Amino acid sequence: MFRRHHLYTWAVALVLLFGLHPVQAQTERGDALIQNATVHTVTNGTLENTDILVRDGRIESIGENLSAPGGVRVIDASGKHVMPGIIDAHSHIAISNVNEATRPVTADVGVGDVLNPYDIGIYRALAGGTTTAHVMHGSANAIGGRNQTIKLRYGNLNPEDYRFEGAPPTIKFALGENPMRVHGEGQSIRPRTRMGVEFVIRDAFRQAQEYTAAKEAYANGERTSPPPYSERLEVLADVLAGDIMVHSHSYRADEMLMLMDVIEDFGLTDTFVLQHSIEAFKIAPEIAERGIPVSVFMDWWGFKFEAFNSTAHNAAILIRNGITASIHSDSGDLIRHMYHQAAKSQRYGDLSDDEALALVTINPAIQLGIDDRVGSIEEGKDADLAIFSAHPLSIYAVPQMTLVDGVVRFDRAEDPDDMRLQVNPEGDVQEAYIAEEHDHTHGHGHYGVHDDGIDLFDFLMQP
Amino acid sequence: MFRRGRHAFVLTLLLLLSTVTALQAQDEVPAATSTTAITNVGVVTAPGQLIENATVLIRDGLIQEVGTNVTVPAGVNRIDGADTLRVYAGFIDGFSHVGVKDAPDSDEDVEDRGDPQPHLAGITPERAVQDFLDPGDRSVRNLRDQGFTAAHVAPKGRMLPGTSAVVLLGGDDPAAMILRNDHAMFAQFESASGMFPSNTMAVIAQFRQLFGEAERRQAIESRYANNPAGMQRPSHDPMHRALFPVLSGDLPVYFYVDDALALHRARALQQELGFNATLVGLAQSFDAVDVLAASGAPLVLTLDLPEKADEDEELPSYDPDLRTRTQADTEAEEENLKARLRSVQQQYVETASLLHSEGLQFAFTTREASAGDLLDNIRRIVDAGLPADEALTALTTRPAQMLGVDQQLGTVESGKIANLIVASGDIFDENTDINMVFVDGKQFDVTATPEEGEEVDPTGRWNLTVRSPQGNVDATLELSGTPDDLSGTIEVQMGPSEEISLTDVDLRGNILTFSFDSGDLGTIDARLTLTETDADGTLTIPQVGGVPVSGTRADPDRTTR
Amino acid sequence: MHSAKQLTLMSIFLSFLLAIGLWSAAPQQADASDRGPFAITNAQLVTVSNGVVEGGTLVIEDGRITALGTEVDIPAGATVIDAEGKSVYPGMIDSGTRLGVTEVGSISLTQDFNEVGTFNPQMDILTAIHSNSRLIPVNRMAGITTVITEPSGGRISGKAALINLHGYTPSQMHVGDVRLMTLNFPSTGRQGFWDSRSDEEIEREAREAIEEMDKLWDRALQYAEIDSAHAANPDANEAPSYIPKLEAMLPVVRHEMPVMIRVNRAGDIRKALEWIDERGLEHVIFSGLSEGWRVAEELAEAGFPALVGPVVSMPTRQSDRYDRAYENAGLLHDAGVKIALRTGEAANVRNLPFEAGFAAAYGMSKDDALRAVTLAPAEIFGVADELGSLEEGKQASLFIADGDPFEPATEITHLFINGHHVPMESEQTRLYDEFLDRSPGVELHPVD
Repeated sequence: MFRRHHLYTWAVALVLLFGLHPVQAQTERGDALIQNATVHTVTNGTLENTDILVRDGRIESIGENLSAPGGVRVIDASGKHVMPGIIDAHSHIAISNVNEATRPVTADVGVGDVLNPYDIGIYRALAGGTTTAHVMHGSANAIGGRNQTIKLRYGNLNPEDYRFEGAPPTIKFALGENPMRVHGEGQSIRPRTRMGVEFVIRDAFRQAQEYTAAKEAYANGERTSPPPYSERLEVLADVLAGDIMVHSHSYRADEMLMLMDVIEDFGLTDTFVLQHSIEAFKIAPEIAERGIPVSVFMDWWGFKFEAFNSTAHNAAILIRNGITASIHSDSGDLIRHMYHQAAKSQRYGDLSDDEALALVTINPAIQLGIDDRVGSIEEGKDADLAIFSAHPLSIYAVPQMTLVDGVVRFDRAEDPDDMRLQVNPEGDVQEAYIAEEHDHTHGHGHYGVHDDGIDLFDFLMQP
Repeated sequence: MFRRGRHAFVLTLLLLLSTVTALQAQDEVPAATSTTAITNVGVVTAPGQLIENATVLIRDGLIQEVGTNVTVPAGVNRIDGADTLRVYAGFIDGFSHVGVKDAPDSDEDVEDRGDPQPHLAGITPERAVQDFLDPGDRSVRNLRDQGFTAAHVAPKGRMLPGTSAVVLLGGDDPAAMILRNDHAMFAQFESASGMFPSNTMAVIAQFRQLFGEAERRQAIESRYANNPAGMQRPSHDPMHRALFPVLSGDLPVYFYVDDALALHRARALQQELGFNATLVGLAQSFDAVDVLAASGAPLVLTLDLPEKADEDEELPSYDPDLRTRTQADTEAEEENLKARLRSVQQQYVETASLLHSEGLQFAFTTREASAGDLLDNIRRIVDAGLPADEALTALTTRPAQMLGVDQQLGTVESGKIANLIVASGDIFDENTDINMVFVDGKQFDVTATPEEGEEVDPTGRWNLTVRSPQGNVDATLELSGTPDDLSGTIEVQMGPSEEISLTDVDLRGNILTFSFDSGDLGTIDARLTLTETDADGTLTIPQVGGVPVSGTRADPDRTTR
Repeated sequence: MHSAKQLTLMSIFLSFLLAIGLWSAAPQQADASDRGPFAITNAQLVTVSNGVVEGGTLVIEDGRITALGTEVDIPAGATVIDAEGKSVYPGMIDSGTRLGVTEVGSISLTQDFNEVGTFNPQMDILTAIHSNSRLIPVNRMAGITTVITEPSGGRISGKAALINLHGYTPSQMHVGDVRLMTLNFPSTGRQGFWDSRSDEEIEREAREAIEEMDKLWDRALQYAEIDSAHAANPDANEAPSYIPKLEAMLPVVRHEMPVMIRVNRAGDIRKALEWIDERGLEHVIFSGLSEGWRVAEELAEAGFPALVGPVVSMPTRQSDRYDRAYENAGLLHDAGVKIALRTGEAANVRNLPFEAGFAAAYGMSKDDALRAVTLAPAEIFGVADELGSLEEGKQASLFIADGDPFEPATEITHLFINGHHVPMESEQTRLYDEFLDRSPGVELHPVD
């Protein structure tokens, strides 16, 4: 797939970007033998009465009547179903800030700097079989901040333990109403229109090129001093070098076409993923032709004008047009039942079980450049596994146990009720957050609990 | 108009007050000696070292002699310890803003909220705390009353407020307070409001930006210094220049971290940018002891603790296996959650003891704590397992070392600055009172907690008279809100008067305190003892002193709540 | 004559109107629905009220179910729908939505559920129902035939109404004259981490709000007394003066119109029960009850029914077990509270069967979950003689499915609302049909 030839550059970028971060505590890796399960491998069909042997956090073997070396935990999964840990390609859990909305280009910020291991939303997501999340910056800016792919290793208190080692860095772009509302409508600065959005992005790319050129000129002795340091342009230069993937929030077909052209002009088509993409179905042939993956809402629509011309069949249309499509949550609620979101693709379209499951497993893994590690049940892959009481596409399926790197991180039978990792020492044990159903906006939903530490602005933002 | 009104008020007041102080100065009979001997006391010369029946001789601001065999010169001031009092080295606050005024508000508009003028966004590394010191600030007295005689203070602000100094908590003017200037750069994850950086992740990005650009400028400046020929002159830039000593590691960064998350973030940033960090605050650091240990950074631990739990309430210990299925289980659930809450509160109190048992060394910071709780909190920490000697070390010798003033402060030794506590007994005993402190050899009696009368509702209008030998000035005080949450204004009847908003309005029983900004005269603190109908007290004016004020209710018919 | 340019402008204008769904041509209802008679044969009839009939026939005439069972005569001229391998269910009822009163979430001028003011008993949601809302066909295709559409905001938001999801005027859609006075009980909960009010402020605000409610009720009672006296003897007693809020409260204080009390937090539910008791309210329906399970015993004892949901939502407390919200409806049911389910949705009322499925997965029986979206709400709203089950004489609001309607993979094949055979299409299915295999694809585009 498209990301292979970039693995090396990503590795370099990783060293550049994260090499100086604190040495990560050794990630805990587990051993387990899961017995007698119906195993949905996603990439290799469904296997009945099958065992999965996990050693040191990886799937060592898949087969019948495997035996466990002494001391390895045996999990009886008779009558139960196992699927790959679910991957959410668009989430905002486990971070303290989402949007830096004060200017149209904020490539310099990154949510990876503000990971919050205390977010109970991580555990709640695990309780729905989710093991990996692409935690994204918000959509207030045409070019937003960098995102962070994390594994839901809940229980660890050090933010560094959550980073998905080796996952390619990504950055958030956003088109249409949100950046237009925040800047044009809110502050009377560009962009106020979709024309302005295009200009802001092209202009930022051009500035980054100028910046890189100036640095090179200095290195070659053509300038007496380097250009004024710009964290923002440093990051954008990495984007232009293909070292940081672009994940762009988008709704309308025209704006997606626009950005696809911009991306192509700057040679970034191989490191580009469309997000939300309510109208992607309208331009499925164009998207397919360029091989761009798309991550969409399952059924959210109508919450704003650019989300009105919509169909829940979006994912099915994209899949049938040969596009690597995924379903994302963009929600602390939906991330708890992604298996059910995927199941809806069988109502709004006619996807097979494997195609439906792929929407929340191998396809998002491909989109995030981590499909060599996760997204399917294969020998050698990470033992990120979700065990269900019934077929995970059934409405009656109840997640029973979730493993990350072979470590049981959710166990319906054994976990305490109160899974908080921190308690406000001055809080009230009866404190309940019950958001009223809003009087305006947010047509998409239940207005559930919002994660701690996310500021009011983020709360008011549209998806 | 506003400014003019305030100006007139200030001028007149200054005029009146200069006469007051002049008169006082003329009337004052000079003290016969400033030498003081504290006799018959137990002296804790350093943590773990007690000399009984000792004498401490203080002269010219210094400890001249300590021991059991000290000859007390004739005619000196004597304080008889009666074999019960104890003398300790004055406590040193490892980090706070005691005695530091707010930086003046800028009335500049934000030109581009995405790239605002740095000082509006809280980026002022070029500022030095010496420009904001105010020895008359009430916080100085409050901290002194708890045994603190020196403090490491930094300007207030947001992400990079400026450089700090070690100050003595006494002295008549800012210069007299300063013991050591430019000790450290103060940093924290405090975002700007409505402009970049508006949240923590943007603050982190901004640190990278500032360090990156400072590094570039430093390189250019050093090349220019070597050989300016053919090179454009680097522009003068105090902000980035202030970071040069941070880049070189010469100036430590005191990074305030409120909780475990901030701690991880500061540590990550420190490793990435390579500055020399002291980690300050550290509430919840029980969750990140390994990170603290690995950082090797000097530590300054908060004295702020969760409020004391109601110990009379009987609770079972927390049981994670307790399940809540139906309504019938909710009572047990509530008790269980309370038990968990209580154990977490205890974790905060035990943090110091935990760090100590892990071999980590620390001083204390008063920044987030209520001044009145400090001694209580220190005792709670000792009760929770921190050895008393270690607590005393963290309050005296360790901060003295960390701040580079251990030649001058931290122990009761001859030759050191006479910063002392005189207490009625063992300072960690809950029944012990601090009788007085010495700062720079100057004695400050600790005003026992004022006898609080029955609570009076002060809301409404009061007619006050500020009395000076030159005549009286009338003022009107208007208070509203509830006794827990008071606000108000004061209007001084003088020329084109104006209403000035009160700050820090506080009522304890019948004692009302508040402050207001007089403009040029600085912040004036007021303290009034109230009855239903009368008010009597003092206005404390910076660099002037106390002026009597009294008055009556403008609406005497008003009944209590 | 129109110039070409004018025509272009006109077509842009028209397409704009169409695009924003304000064009009255209502494209989603272009195919007129068929009124029958119909005979659904060879079907599994899930009656809800009387068990399951295998291989049954159900006859619809004049909008009603006229016969059902295994020995049923098919009327002459009936359209026969062979439902071999399929099941017939009563139409599902969502007991709390905004269907018909919102179109585009972020555009406030398309929102008609929240009027200005604290007490708005005189507001009637029915008057604002947009029969041709684009949202309606999209959602009814899940087998949802009937919903409560409710106002919100303020203390008394106005009257909610029970409507069928087919019809061209609000009165055609209105079912059984059901109106519920919507009251938002004062909350002492924080709405979120940003809610910085002190505990005292919250308590005071709630107390004052209850005092305001009492004042309204007292005045409405007084007004009713004047009104009754005048009605009994117009010559002796003056007519009440024109006070629209009090006039609108008359059916409420006379216990003729139910009060739908929206309340969620456990402490607030207890306060609401006290208040109901003090005021002697007889006809109360609770709505929301996200912490209802914590007060289930008191709620059961009080005996008022409850519209519970959304089921698929977050626990209210950080310390709560992760599946609390999923279990809530089932726990209330177990405690003896009569419950129906609500989504609180507009755009995705279509998730109602999945909400019921989650309730079933987390503790409720499937039968009870089905009842909570069919017969139970019909009983709660007093329309069980019309809706909620497959019974002779009831409105023919029902659907045919090729499996368990709570399962996402199940296809709903036919939908009848009040006897009308409603086409199984919406804007969303039409987009699917058009774009699944778009023509032209890329081939006619300029090649780069």
